[in-house]
Amino acid sequence: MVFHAPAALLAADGPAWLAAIPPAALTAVIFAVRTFNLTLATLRLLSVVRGMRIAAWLLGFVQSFLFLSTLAGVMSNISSVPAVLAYAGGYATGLILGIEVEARLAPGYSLLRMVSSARGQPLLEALHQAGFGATELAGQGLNGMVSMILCYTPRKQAQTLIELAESTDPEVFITSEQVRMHKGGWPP
Amino acid sequence: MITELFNIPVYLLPLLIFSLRVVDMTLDTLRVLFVIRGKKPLAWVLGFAQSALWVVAITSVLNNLNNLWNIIGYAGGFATGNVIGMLIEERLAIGHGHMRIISSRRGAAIAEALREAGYAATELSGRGKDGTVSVISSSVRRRDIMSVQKEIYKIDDDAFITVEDIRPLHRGFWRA
Repeated sequence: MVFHAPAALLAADGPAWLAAIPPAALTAVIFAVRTFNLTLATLRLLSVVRGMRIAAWLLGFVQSFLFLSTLAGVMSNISSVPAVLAYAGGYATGLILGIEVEARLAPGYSLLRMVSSARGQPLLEALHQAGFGATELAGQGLNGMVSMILCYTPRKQAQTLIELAESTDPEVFITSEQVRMHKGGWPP
Repeated sequence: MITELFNIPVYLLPLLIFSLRVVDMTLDTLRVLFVIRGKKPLAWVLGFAQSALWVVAITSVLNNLNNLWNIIGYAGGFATGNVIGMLIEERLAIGHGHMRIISSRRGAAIAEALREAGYAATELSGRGKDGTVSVISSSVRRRDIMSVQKEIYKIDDDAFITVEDIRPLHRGFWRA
């Protein structure tokens, strides 16, 4: 029943390939492995928050497997100050990298809330013409009437939309929120 | 350590590691989701239990790294517990959600129905692609979102509904 892992992959005191790495390079390896591990961990966490179950499972499995097959062995070799710094630095860098990757993938939807004091109507028309659903509400601001436009968009297209809005009204005030779920609407 | 402690046969260890990890990651995922919603005491209790279980699981694996099944059990338990935690959190559905309903024709009827069902609803009039629309804002308990959504679709099945997570609010009218 005992399923022996290839020695090259796993060993109690670190994988066999570890011994082949010169101590000087080991610090760099620890940094790289830790960075990659934390990138996966961050993507998993963001999947959890967004309720994406399958992605969370897959990322969790890979992250955990990689942790054991590389880092768990490396951990006993972390004794020098540079190695500790590499471990911590990899953790922090992976965290940032994970956020960055998630922003590139940009799953889900955003709500953009645009407030325009002078050019609400043309802004609304421009959004509709570009194929986005948008709803205009009348509001009152510091200097009288303003338009508030609600616009739902896939996160991937949010940047295009913001640029479009700014080209129509350079003074437009935009905030964006994450939408957890949505049903219906235009375009379908 | 754990095999000697409880006299567990070696072939059961991967299963035990898997179970430990499922429980500890379920707690951990719930903890993260409670942290986001600002539930401090719950987050503390879950964090304590989770890290205690984790220490047992990781030491059992690290002492028996020669068996690949242990590692698969560890990783599989991690991934599975994560998803179970999400499912439990969705069932518990603690907290409130903000529903925003955009309806082109039946806004007044929807607001009326929401109020009749005991929810607070604020109706605004707006302009959409094809003229005037109603925008209705209503904050409801997360566990009520599905039933509220069904009620709305009974009135207007073209309604556009979005839901956002909100932090606990103060004031306003809340269903008892």
